[in-house]
Amino acid sequence: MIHRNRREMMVLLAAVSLILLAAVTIAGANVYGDAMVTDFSRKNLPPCLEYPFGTDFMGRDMFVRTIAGLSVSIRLGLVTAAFSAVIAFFMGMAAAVLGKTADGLVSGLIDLMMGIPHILLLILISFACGKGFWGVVIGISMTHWTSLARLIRGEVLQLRESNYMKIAARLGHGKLRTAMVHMTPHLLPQFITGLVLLFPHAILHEASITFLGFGLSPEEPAIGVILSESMKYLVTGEWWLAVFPGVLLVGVVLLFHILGQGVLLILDPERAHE
Amino acid sequence: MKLEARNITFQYDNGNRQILNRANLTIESHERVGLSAPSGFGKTTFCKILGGYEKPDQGEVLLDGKPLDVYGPYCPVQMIWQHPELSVNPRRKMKTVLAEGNQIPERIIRGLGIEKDWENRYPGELSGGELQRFCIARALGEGTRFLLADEITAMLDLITQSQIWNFLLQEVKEREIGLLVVSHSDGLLKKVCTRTEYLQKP
Repeated sequence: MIHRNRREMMVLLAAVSLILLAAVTIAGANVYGDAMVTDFSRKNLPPCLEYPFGTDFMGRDMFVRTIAGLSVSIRLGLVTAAFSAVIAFFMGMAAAVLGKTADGLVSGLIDLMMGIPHILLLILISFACGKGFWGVVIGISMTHWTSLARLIRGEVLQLRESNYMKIAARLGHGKLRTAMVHMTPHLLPQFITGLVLLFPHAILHEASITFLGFGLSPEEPAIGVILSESMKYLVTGEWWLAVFPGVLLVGVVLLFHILGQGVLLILDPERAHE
Repeated sequence: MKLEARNITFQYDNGNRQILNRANLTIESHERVGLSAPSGFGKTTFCKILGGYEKPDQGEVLLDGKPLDVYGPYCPVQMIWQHPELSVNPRRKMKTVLAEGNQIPERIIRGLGIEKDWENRYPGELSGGELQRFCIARALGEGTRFLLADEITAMLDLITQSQIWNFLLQEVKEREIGLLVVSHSDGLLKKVCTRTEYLQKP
């Protein structure tokens, strides 16, 4: 076997994760229609060759439904992570750059958001926005920018006081250019890693509030919906309804985690030799 | 040219004691002035004020009778810091340090003993002495008229010290750059400077 170092292995692993996730997303989007098909001649079938994840009480193919549900989750995670990362970036920057009052306001807001249990705030916002895909997206984005914003704020505050940025100013470089040139290599890895690591949060939260009935609508093939429906059938022994979608959800979350770790390792020059 | 500090009084914003009290200093272009004082007497602070990093609470810094700001974006008074590892961005390659200076000629880079392949490394991959050479080169751009050297060789071995100082002396003499040397080492000051000043206790 060819020997590879840890860095190469991580890059390989991250690439494989990315391909798998992309495959699930695209496949799910293509079988979305099939996931809604009901056929009462095949209802409540346990896993078999034809239906590897079995079928449910309306005769829907659970494999197709799970893939479609994961696809919805991943797309939702993508939009949510992007939204909250953008909010985090601007809030963090504002806190660090716009002076003491802005800093106090943003930091206070962060403390406030972090002080309230996520799930409660999430349900409130999602409900107020009319539930559904966008309700969930707005709910999760509004509650998940805080830790990344705090990270960016701290980093920018520290960088602003750094000798090398002051020296750049004395060497006659403009403020904006100096900030771009000197801060980007510090902020970008943090930012991208934070963004990728937001995915699993977003996906799990989507599943949980949908499970509780405040997220996506019940006819959609979403993991939360599948899991909450399956609860009713667990007592009658239809274990496959919960187990396979649940395991795959955890799998997707793990893949994102690996991807995030890989990205961090690739982008951080201080860890370049690992 | 003449760099003048008049009645500089300074205290950091964090409410600590007063660092400088009515400090005065004049350096001519052809001069190399040593500055010595025990720890905590404000040598670095004085350099920061002379280099425009800090504004004094009272007093003024004048270059040929005019404040530093009027000389455009590139400050003609450049400071070399004591800690090179804090003076370069750890996430940018060393060649960006040289690019940041104002037209650094190849002569200076080679004269300081900077090797070509160092330029493609990150700061973490060089030693303190190697980093300091980059910082010195960066401060020697075309527009530099005065150089403030704040303990720039304190962490180096004697051979490297003499190598760097030999080059620096030759360079400042040639270009008529005024030099302020801060050091605890009287031997160094005697060797390098035309005269030595002592900061008084505030």
